[in-house]
Amino acid sequence: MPNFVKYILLLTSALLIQKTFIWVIAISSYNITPDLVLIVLVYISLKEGKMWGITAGFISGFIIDLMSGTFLGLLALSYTIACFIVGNFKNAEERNLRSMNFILITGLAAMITNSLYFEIFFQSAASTMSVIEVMYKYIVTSSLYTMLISLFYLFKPRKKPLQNAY
Amino acid sequence: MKTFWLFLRSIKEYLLLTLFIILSLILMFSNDNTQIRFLRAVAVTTLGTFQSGISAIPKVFDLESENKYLRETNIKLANEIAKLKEAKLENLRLSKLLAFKSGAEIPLISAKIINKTLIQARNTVTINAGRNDGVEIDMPIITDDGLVGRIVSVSDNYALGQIILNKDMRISVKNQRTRVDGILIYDGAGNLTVGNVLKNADVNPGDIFITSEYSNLYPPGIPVGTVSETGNLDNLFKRIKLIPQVNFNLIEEVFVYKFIPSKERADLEKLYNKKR
Repeated sequence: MPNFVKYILLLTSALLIQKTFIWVIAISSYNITPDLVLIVLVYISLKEGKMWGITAGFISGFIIDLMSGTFLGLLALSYTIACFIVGNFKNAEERNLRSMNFILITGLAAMITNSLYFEIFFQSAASTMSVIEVMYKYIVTSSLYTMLISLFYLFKPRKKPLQNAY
Repeated sequence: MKTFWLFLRSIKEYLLLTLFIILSLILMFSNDNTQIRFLRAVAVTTLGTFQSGISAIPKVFDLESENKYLRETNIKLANEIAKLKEAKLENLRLSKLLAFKSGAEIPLISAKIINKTLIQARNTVTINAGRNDGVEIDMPIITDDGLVGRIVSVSDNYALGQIILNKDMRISVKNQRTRVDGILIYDGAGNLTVGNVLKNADVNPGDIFITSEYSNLYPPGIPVGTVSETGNLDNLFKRIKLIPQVNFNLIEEVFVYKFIPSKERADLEKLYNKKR
């Protein structure tokens, strides 16, 4: 059974930081913002699989959409699809959670989320920006920055597995 | 039957994915109904309560630039006061002559910004005034410098406002000097522009654009931005870039203008558009 309390706490913290303190690490002049909620969602999807991943993704996206006041459902859709794809990388030994693979998978998830979100977002608003321009101005830059921030996860202190306990 | 259930269990992840995608699409196409407004109000209240606590922490990094800005504003205001005193005396003299009855005072609700986003294509501010203070959806948000935006979501004690640096905003504006009309547009990449202005129109750098009476959402005459650059967009239209009148990086206090758009006018325009 998934550790719901832990995941709810992690997602709530990430969401509050994302909506309140993100200006501290965002590169405002270039519209580059890391997605902390997505990093937690990748962790949940790799740990619990697709079912819980997409559920957490949809709910988190929906809450952020509500708070941001515009285009309800778009981030929920982006997170849901990204978490479904990430959930495919879950394995019994949780290797992907303990290696550089985590960073690469976070990068992939960020690319999927940002591509869906920004392309639909800009196309719906009849923007003058081309698909390629949106790609390098928003999608690639924000995804790389999210990937960079997810590096901190690798430095997280871990419990050592018990070997030769007796 | 058992085989059917086993089959369903084997594809449960795909079923859930389909369900969430359908739900997301439904949400995307029902952005403004009553239930969604209620949910938005709940979300704004929750986040607003948290952010109002956080906003008590001073932003040390901003203090230096804020002090500089305040000193500059102070000097400008001192000059303005001197000019206004002169104008007031002149006005008193002329009013007496014309038996002019002064208009009612503008009803304003003051509020503090407890959160703002300036790094996205759809930027917003959260303020600590809500329905209990008389704030309603669609009311304009202003400062003494000019237009900030408009209220899009409101709860009892907080409200969420779209600022002019938001891709969803389209505002009818006019050049204060030459009365040339245009539409204010934010392109989502940091550029505030005025569109639909003909190539031969008289617009120069330094001109101020104000809200126009063509807009039903904003009262006319509120300064919006100063022209920083002009050029030709194509064979027909001008490309005009604006610098907002309001410094969104330093803004902390705002006023909500108790201006409710005319429903009669909106209904009439809607009816005409529908007929077409």
